[in-house]
Amino acid sequence: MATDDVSPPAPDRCSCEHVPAPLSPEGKGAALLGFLVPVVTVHAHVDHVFGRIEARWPNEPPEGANWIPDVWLAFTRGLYGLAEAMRLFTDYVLLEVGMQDPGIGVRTPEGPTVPQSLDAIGQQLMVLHEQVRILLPAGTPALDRARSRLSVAIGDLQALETHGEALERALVAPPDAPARPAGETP
Amino acid sequence: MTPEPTPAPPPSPASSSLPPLPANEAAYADVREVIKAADTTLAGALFRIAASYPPALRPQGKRRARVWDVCTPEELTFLRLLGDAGQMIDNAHQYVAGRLDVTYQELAEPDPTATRETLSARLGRAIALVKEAGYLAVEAMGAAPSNEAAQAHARFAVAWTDLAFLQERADTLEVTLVGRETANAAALAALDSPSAEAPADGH
Repeated sequence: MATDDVSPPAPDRCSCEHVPAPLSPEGKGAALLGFLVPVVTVHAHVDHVFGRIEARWPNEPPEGANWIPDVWLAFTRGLYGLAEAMRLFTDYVLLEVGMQDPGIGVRTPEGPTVPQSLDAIGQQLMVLHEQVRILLPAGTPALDRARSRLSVAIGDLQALETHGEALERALVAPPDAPARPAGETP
Repeated sequence: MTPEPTPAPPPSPASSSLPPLPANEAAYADVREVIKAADTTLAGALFRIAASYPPALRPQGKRRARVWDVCTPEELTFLRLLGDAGQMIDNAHQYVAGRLDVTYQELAEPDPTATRETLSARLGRAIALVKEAGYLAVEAMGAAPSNEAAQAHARFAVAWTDLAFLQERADTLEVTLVGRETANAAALAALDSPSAEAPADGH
């Protein structure tokens, strides 16, 4: 949408029917941290999987064994969709509570497999489903809207989980080995 | 508290069709045109709100900052949520373009028509368009239900649910806009009247 000319300034607070959360400033800070840590953990795992895919198929030269198969290109698009859904969800919640992303980051534990990363993301999304209730009052449209955005991310994850193990096999296989999901014919 | 409108359920993800579809320009063209219409409609709502401020408050080159400085909290909230819904539509559009393996195109266009259309009517039209875009996207992704089609639909559903929420509140804001536009017109008319001319020499 053409919103460039009327892009809003940094968020102050936002809700059509805002009910202030009964949190002290300290409590709000803690709640924000409790919200952001799962968010950044999800992004860390997403980045980790992205990094492994890129390392396995660097596309240089852009053909042969280095060329990413279509199926895993589609997977990266799905992963990107998940990351974007998380961004929209996070931006929305932060806008509602009138806070800004402090820009914290975390690293994934050493060397998770793709299924482990997807599992970890799923766990964090479930945490966020509850955590967001601390920041946004129950029964408000804001909470419903935040959760509907989170649901999009959960759906994206479910689509990716179907192929997590196949991707892991492809990532650890020798470069000239078949790199397709089980059951799929080239 | 007014309950949130419930979006139509997305198609059940009966299968996961991860491999990308072949580039489908024809199907994408239909989706793109509807999204473009929705985008344009919503952009018109944003600009109508911004344009309702007295010209003196938005001098050349400073309109953006001044509008955000002076608009009411309700308007600010409305505009932010409208912008947020626009982002959701854009996200859904990008998702669909990626899935159909076509090049994503920015669609923003000025809307020269229906400037005075009420916010409620405009939002109603946008909701219908976003719903249509959602169903067209599912159709474009093929006959078989897939996770990706469901996810595309879910993105559009979030956007139209947000817009429905805004539409419920649009009439209140419409009163403010009309009042401000009327006051603007009166102020401009007074400036144009002979009595507003500069005093004659010697006075």
